[in-house]
Amino acid sequence: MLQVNHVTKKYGKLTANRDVSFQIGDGEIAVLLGPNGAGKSTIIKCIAGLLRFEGEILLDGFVNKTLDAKKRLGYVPEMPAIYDMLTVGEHLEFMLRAYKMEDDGTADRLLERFELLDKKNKLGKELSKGMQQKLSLCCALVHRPSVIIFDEPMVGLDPHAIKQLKEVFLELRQSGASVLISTHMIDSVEAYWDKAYIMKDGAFVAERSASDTTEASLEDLFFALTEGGADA
Amino acid sequence: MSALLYLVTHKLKNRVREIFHRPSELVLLLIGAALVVFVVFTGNLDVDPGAVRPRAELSAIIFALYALVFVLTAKNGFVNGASMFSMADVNLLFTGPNKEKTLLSYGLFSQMGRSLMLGLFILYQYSWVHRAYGVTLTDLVILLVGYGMTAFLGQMLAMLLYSFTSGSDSRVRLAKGVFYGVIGAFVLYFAFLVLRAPEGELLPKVLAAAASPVLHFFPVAGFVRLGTVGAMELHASHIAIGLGCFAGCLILYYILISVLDMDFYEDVLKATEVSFSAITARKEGKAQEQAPRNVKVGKTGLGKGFGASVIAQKHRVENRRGKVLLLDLTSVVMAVVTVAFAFFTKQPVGALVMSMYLMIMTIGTGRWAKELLLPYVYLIPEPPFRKLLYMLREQLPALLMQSAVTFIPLYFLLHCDPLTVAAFILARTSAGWLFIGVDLLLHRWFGAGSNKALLLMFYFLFCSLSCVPGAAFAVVLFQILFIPLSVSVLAMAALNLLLALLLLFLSRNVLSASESNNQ
Repeated sequence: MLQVNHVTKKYGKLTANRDVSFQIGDGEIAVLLGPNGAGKSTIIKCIAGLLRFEGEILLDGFVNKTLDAKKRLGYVPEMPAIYDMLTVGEHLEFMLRAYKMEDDGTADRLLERFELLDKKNKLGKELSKGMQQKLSLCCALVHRPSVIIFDEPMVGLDPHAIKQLKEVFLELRQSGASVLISTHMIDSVEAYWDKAYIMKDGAFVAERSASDTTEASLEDLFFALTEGGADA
Repeated sequence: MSALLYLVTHKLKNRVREIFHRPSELVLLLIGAALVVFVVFTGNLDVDPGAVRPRAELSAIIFALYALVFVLTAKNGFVNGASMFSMADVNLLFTGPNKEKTLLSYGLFSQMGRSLMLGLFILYQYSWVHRAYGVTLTDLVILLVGYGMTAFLGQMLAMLLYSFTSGSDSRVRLAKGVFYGVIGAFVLYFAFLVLRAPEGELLPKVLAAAASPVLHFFPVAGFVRLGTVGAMELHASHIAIGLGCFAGCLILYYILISVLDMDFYEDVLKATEVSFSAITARKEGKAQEQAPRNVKVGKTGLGKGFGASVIAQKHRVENRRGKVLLLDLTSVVMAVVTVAFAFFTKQPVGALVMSMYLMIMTIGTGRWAKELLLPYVYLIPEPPFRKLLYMLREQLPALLMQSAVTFIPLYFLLHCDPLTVAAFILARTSAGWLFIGVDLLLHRWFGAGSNKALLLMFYFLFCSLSCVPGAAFAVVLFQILFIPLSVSVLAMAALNLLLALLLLFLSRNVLSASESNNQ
């Protein structure tokens, strides 16, 4: 369960997030949509505990900066976060050791799934940007977090990896994890979201549940709101 | 107006406009200018002509500086070349209907400005060079221009070497053989002159060797030194020779680049991409790894570490692969500069101050600083202070080794007693921790919105201020209470360490939020 309560984030005079509140239950997938500069990455970094903010963020009931919350979190940053001098396999070993976990084969299974197993001994700096993104995904998932946040996870991925990632989203939902995906690619998440939040100028301008079948499509709603054509 | 002229003038115009539109840029510029004025004003004391050190020393220092800059810049040609172009130049100008030679000239013109800007640090040396050698402000500007000329030709040679050698191992071998052969020949000749000189003090022998006319033929640094010193002493023929050789060399490099390899686009492209990715990485707050071109992976697996301690283990593996030994090239250069300073001035305390001053510029380049730019160190579920200590662990042996290499030569050159040398080693190491503490505290205090240049200025200021208590304590002990130098410096080291511990404690939560970067 992820709970974001009245979060405001300011950079000097600029308010990047204004009184943002939402929650994602266990086994739910939420998508975060919005134009460039809407504040999506900022709220994601606040959840990840990377930024200071006003308000409260709870992961499975624990304040996000606590060690208990950090243990439960998986984070895929917008730009692949890779160490040039570590091999692919060592990245996952590093994550497991840092989270004080034993490898039960999850690392190899993830690498195989994202077609990185044959690159296990390749250095981070030798990977293409797409492969770095795949590795970044594996690093976020290897310690089996219960709250996972993805910031533009599909950018740079090949079709096979996108297919795998979509399957991962569904498996995470089935396993009871809370999943938050920030993306520009509305059509790529249309099939499996449970909740959708549309951001503009640092605040939510619309909130939609998948069960709301009578209203316009998510894409239509997005364009109506972000191009200023209609109210939510 | 031609497109290139339009580009140059508008880039310049917008740069100036940006300074006035962004208060932080303007403040930075004003502080920079004020610092120059301050250094010149406070250092501009009347100098007794009888008390200044021989000009031959200054000439030797200028030669050493120019030679170092030229060799270090030019040798980039064996790795990535040197790009005079931005990524926008490559994508918009190279693909457009522009002549290669015109673009080359445009690139060289842009580079000339950057080379001069790089040497601005020379102006801040006014105070001590004026007192030691009676150098005037005009002399210093001449020295700066000489520096710019040397860096510029070094950049051109790097581009030439890269164009000549790219894609051919045999050409790399040939070019490296000639490049290092020429340098080696001059080094051997220099050593021969020193060894052949009559018995006596080492310094006069070194100065006599550095003044040898043969060294004027050392590529670029030799004739630029001749011209620079000539201009300081109003020696018309030396100025003419220096400028003539510079012009000749410039024309020769230009012809070689444009004639030997008319299609230099491919060569420039790679260097530009490398430089662009480095700039982008810095803007995005990503860690920049100074990795060798061919990394030997060796044994795989971390093998050790659990929780926060895996960070230190990871650093060990990364350093092994990146060939980052306890002593990197920068540390060696700093040690050489410090030893040379001690050798010329015969002031061990001055050498300690110089080494600490140089260290301020490099302390933030350690792996710990790169770690702050990736999210993992913040996400790892361990107490922030514990993570911080493991993140900094690699610094202790590195700082000790760098300090040892810097000060052990003083035992042989200046006959300092071993206890003083040991005290200097500990003092420099403690100052290193002090500067790390300052850097971390600034990370802790300032957020992502802070201007990087202003942050750097605060860093220099706070680093300098953090040294004051220890230095004042040592001065009181040594000058007023007549405690031996070694004990006074040891006391300074102890105070520095205490202060460093306090700074680390104050910044213990730096890993609880990564406000200082964009991840």
